[in-house]
Amino acid sequence: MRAFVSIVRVTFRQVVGGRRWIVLGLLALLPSVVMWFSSMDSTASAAIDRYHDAPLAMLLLLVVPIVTLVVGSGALGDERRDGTLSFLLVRPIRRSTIALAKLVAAWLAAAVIAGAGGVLASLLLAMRAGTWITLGPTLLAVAVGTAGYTAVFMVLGHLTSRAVLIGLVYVFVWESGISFAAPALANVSLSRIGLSAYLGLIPASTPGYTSLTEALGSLAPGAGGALAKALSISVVCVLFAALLLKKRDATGE
Amino acid sequence: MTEGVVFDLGWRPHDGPRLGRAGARRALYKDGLRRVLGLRRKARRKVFPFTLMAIALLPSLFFVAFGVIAGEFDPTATLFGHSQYFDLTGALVLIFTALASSELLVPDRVNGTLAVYASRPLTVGDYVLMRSASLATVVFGFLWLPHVVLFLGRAWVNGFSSYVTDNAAILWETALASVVYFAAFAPLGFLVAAFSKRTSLAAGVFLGVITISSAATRGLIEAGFDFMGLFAFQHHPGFVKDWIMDSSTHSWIPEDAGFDASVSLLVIVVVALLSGMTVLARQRRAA
Amino acid sequence: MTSPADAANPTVEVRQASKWFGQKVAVSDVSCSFGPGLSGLLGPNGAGKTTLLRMICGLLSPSDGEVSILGTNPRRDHRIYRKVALVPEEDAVYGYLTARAFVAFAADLSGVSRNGVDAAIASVDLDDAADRPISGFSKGMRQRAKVAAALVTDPEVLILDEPLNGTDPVQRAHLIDVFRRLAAGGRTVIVSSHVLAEVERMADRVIAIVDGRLAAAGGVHAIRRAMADIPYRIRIDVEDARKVAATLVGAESVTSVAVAGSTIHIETSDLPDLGRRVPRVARDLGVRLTAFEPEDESLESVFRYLVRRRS
Repeated sequence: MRAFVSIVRVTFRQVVGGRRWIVLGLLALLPSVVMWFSSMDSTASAAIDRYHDAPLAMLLLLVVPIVTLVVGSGALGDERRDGTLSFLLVRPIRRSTIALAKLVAAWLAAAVIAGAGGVLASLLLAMRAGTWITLGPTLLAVAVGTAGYTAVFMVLGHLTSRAVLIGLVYVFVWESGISFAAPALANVSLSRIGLSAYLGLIPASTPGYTSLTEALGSLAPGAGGALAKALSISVVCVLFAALLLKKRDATGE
Repeated sequence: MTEGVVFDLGWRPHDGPRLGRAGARRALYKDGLRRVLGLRRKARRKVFPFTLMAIALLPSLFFVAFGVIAGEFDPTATLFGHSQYFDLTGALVLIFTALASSELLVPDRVNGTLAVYASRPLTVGDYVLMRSASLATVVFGFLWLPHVVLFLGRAWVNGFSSYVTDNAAILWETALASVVYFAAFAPLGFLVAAFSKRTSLAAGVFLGVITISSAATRGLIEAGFDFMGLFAFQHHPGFVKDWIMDSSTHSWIPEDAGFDASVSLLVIVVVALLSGMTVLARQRRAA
Repeated sequence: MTSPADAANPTVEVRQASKWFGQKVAVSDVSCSFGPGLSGLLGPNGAGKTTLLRMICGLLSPSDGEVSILGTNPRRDHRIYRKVALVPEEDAVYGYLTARAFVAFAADLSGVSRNGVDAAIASVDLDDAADRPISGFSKGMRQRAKVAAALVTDPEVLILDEPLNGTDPVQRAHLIDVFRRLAAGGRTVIVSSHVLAEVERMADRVIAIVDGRLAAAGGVHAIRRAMADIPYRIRIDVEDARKVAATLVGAESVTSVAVAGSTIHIETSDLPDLGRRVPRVARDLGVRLTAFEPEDESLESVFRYLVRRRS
């Protein structure tokens, strides 16, 4: 347990160290900025609609993927490229424990950064519309969305040094383009997991609900389903990462 | 010991021409080209640049082949006309610039070879200039070559001399638009790379910032904050390109915000200058 | 009778191990073992030392053959790492951690108490800098931080890849002293190094690798004696060196003779014969013999011969 906690602590510091947390933090604040200015002089209902229109979409479809990409791909990838992976591997710790600790640290870091943006946006909405209705669903959506993305990008980061670039192509070409063009492909879209969780908790009568469900494509809203998906993806990715740590030569780059 | 002797082991000092600063600049420029294109490196280093270049060039080759076979090439056709072609290559050059700018600046700084350059007859300004020149050469070729192919293909089908005479302006317009795209993206790419320790991360942050800024500014403009249109960095070159080519291929954010294309051009120039000065200062400190 | 490449009570065994990366063969059919005491792993750059050590540690899987530590394949059972520590050649440190935090992290990862952190830091003489981030350390200080991180786990097998890189002579002497004490305490210490003089000082046994193959194994002097095809160079200090040299030059076992003042430098293919002949000649000529020493039994000479033989 001590080893697990130590890896989580050191990894958290590693993935948000230096200027990274500033840049990512500023990125995460953008939805709030848009929320504030776009909902000026709006009624409560219009403000909620505005929240669903741009800020939430930016948060779940841009901020969460980019933050998790940077943080997740660095969790194992940075160790491999810095040569510190051997420091972790020559230890009496199961490889799955190392992989899980890395995922937990990266997920926490990504969720805190993206979640801060979501909390602020919901807070601003509350100031405009007098309702906290979006806060809980937003936090869950961020938590669940970051879990799925972080797990996948952690494995990608370990496999290749071009992880960030490949991840961006996935986010901007597949997620934002192809999977939206073909609703049936929503099942293989990580961004829909967070959105599904959000819609599973927010009442159907909320302004903007219908347009959000259209963005879900063929998926049905559901917090439980989203949670299960995120968990399944995380488990598979942790096991795969553990297998890679066990089988792959730690040559460094 | 008052006596000594030196044995001639065959070592000779360099007695060839000393190429000086110009030679050093040329060497740096050629090295930059090799890095950007992955030449004299493993095959996987060539995958991204050449794949992107192939994607940029293939549609033009396809349309020329189609036109030659069909025997006609409607000059007024808008599908993959010259202006529309920039919508494809503009997106590709964004990715290419993200990769290439980080590849050009990050390794030298992180590996400490910047100090080696500084010990040669080169200034830091020379270094930044030559790295920019390498990137400019490739990006310009990347952007302009498909237009040359399209132009020549259309000329071939539509009566060579008359087509060239009547449409020669397309060549300089597309060339100028290519320069605008380079000036819009490369300085920002260098700016991010100058502060990053990893090439892949620099590329990712650059692309992320550019893309999110578009989404954010769109939202704010719709809320009535038109001045935010100045920060739609991804859209400025396209808007200026439409101005140069007197076309309208897209709904550009600065245009929706009520700005003129000349304002977009000014933003590009100012951002390029500020980015260049910052990169220069940063590289001086690192050298 | 065990081969000189095998240790008496082996704790680390390498059996016909090979490793190739694509077309490049880094280690080829190496069989040797290491036991309690201090063993030096030598080889020129690119010989395969780091690859061999990483195979031993389980960081690389052998393309062929087997490696084991304390009877266990480290790639199959991570629990063996309780007794193993590695100090890698590369700069494998977390720059943002202080030296103390880095060593404590190592203790946590290995499941040992943090009580030994201060002692480990003191043993490498890093007390004064222990609370500074490692990113500000010199190369030698980083090496010492890595060694401290290895020592805090109190390993039974300690593997060090070029641990003396970047250290100054005082730090080097101090670290060698630490390694010798550990080895004297019954631990298996394997040190790979280019600093031949220090390896000669500290290692009881040497394994030499050239071009990925095992080139020699055993004690330095024993290795030299095993190189029967290379003439020995002997230095003799004697009164009236010219007269003695003139007598010796006619002997069959003498390959070459050079005189410098009162010193004779002799190359011989039969050291025992020369050892009997020289005192007899000195006695017969009535001159005093003051020194009879091999000039090329140093590790550096042996190493040079080994590299020359294979190229």
